[in-house]
Amino acid sequence: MLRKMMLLLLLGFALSHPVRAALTIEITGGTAGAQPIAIVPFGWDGQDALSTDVAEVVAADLHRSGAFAPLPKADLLSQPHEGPQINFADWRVLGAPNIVVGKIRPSGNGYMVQFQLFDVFKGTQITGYSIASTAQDLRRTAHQISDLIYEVLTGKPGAFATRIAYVTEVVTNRKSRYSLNVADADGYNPIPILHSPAPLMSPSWSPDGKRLAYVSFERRRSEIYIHDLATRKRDLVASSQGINSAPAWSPDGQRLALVLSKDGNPEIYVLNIKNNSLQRITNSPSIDTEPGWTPDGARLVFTSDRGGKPQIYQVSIPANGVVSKPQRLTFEGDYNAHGVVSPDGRSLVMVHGQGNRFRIAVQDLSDNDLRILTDTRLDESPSFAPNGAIIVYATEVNNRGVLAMVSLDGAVRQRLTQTEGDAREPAWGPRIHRIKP
Amino acid sequence: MKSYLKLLMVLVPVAILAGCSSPKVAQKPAPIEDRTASAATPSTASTPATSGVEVLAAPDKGNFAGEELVDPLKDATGLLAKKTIYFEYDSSEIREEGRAIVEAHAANLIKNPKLTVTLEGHADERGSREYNLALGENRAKAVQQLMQLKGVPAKQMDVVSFGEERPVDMGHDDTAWAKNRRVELIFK
Amino acid sequence: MTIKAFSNSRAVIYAILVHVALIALLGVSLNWTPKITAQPQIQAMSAVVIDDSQLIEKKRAQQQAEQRKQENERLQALKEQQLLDEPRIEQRQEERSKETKEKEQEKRAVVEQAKIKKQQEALREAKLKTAQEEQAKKVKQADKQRAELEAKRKAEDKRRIEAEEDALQEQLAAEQQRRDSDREKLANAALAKFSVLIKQKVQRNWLRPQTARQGMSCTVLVRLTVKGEVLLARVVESSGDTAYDRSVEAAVYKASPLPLPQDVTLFDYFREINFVFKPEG
Repeated sequence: MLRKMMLLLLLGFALSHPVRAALTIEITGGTAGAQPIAIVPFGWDGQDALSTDVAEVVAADLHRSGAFAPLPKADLLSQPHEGPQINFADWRVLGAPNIVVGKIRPSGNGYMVQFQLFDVFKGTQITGYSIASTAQDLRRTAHQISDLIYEVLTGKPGAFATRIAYVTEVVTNRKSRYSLNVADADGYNPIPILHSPAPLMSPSWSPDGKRLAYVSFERRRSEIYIHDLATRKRDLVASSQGINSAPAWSPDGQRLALVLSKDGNPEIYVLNIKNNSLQRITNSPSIDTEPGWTPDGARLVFTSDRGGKPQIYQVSIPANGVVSKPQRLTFEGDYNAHGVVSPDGRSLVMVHGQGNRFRIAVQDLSDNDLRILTDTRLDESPSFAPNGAIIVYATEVNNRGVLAMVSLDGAVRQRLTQTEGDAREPAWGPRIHRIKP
Repeated sequence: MKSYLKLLMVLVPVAILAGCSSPKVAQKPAPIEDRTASAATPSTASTPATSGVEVLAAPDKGNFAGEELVDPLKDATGLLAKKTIYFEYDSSEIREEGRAIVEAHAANLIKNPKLTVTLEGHADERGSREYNLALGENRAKAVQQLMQLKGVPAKQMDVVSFGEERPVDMGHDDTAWAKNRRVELIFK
Repeated sequence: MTIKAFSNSRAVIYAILVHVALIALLGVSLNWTPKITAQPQIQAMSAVVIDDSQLIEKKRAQQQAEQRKQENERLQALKEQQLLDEPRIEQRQEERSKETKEKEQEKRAVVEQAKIKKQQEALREAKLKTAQEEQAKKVKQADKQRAELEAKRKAEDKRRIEAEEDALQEQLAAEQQRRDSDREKLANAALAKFSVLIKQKVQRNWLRPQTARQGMSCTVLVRLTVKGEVLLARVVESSGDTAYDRSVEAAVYKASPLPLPQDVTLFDYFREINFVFKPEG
């Protein structure tokens, strides 16, 4: 009986002091949005004014990606230029989890650009670099800084120190002059590669960023050239009867998918650039055009009106073997064309038409969920940034052809600057120069 | 001829700026050429360099000086003066009025075996450029097929497409679009 | 007139010494006037970056340690205070003890009764014994039987008493249990309420990145101070997406201080929290 009492007492004692496991709370929802970030204007040691406001370029880059919302300059409480100058308690009030500070000083004929990225809540440095830069390269250095910051905060590579190729048309006295240009991804520093009185179309970058394939009408018909950007030499690679167009460089740089109508009507072919061998991909009386590669180089998406109106299809192209039967990918809307697969292979961006309205849409290839990204009316030629986060495309604003960009979630949209004429047919170049950490 | 002068005017800048003396590439393997399969086509008769391009649609060429008093192609009262066939949106079907024009030209071509025509196909700006390039060709080929049906020998015809690249009307409405959906008959 | 002063030669010596000393002092002090030679050099200020981040760190660590110590002491004091003057529970305790006393009295009465009964039994036995001695032989067997009966009855009584005592003990233990579960109910109620408040505040502060996808999940372990401030936040299970993980940490820090119940004895439940972040479609 005594033992019973003891047991009961012990039990009672135990019940009144339970073992404390960590409480678990599930958080769902939240708001979709860009993460605030404080980017403080960089300090400058030198005498003359700098040609580039580095912090401004970084802020614009990060904003364009759609992932970040740089705080307005007016909200910045102070202007630290390096770690010890930052009072983290003050900055915590603003609610931005990260802060970028930097300073530039003259060094030789150029500059030394230093930047640091801090975690505001923990008060610790996340990353920081000192980059030597020439005066002309200062803008590019700013883009490289954007890439470094973007990569460490998202785990994905940035696409800010990249370039885009595009076509412009300038009309003077009812005469058109067409140019193929290459500019920074934010539209700055445009450099013409080719001028022609005849139309130019469909530029496509080689994966090493050294060459461009494009369509030229200079001999009164469509022909495909490959143009070396360094030597400025070009080769005519397709000039068959009928249409030669829609060149698309394969991810391994060995092949060019293209459209030829020499066999009766426009069909997709794959050209081996080295040995000039041609592999036919489609064979139907319908229009088959606009081939685009999947990142593994094993499949092509293309536009076909075999179902009546243009839709996007997919076909496998094994190295040796029979090409698979094309499989339709798009089912929404009455017109889907110019399909481009994202660098991670998960999404398909396209020109999506309903009635007279043509917009850029993106389709998730796993669940076929389609999202419309733009709200203009005459959009065309979408192209992915190499990190898959932003899309450049051509559109019409006030009767003028312009280039625009939209982030993959459709949240951030920007128009690119342009001096004169119409801009169209943008193609986003690959990442080439990277600062190795 | 005027065209040759215009030719020169644009030849020079392109040559300079493109940085290559001629677009020919002797050392590389020959590009995909399929010209030998078909008969000699009129467009290859032009020089390799860029020809002076006329943006305006109404061609006013006539190489028949001395052969006829009145060039039927220039006779404004005749059907042969019409050299453009129009199409419906996203269609390459030749409609009634178009048929009549094509048939008239077909007859004329048969009568003049030395006469050659380039059928230039075009599309309006809606949709993607590459698809429109193919659509333009479809339209030009439709005209070619009808002509062949009427007895015109293949060697007298050539087909080329400019897609939406050479509109006659730069507007962005139905009127402009209707004017741009066309096949033009270009005679040399 | 005789000057008597000089008889004291010591005085004279002293006087002279004092004068000499004074003169010497003057001489020396004269030499102290600074000589202006060249213009003093203006030292250029070299900007040296003082890296006092370590000092700041140390100071902060110290402060945190101090804070923690203070909080623990405060916690302890409050706890003790709490235990001393929790009126309601005491009152119930008094009621219970009053009940216990009554039960004990009952028990004592029962025991008393048993005692009386025993005494009566003893008397009876004595009487029976004398009667038996008269009829010893006759009722030997009857005696035996009766003795056995007595023994049985005793055993039964004993068992009954024991059973009643056991029942009493069980009742007491049950009372104790009920008291504990009341306390637990209080705690559970606070837990539920503040979990919701905390969840709402963190959710309000969560900015989800564009790369968030259905099925993603990130778990952050958070330690709080008594005031609900985030002491540390650490990702213990990554979602696989850097931007997502970072957004989750930022949400927790921005929501600091988290709402906590006033009752500090409940702090134990909230000291460490695992937040599991999942986007909703």
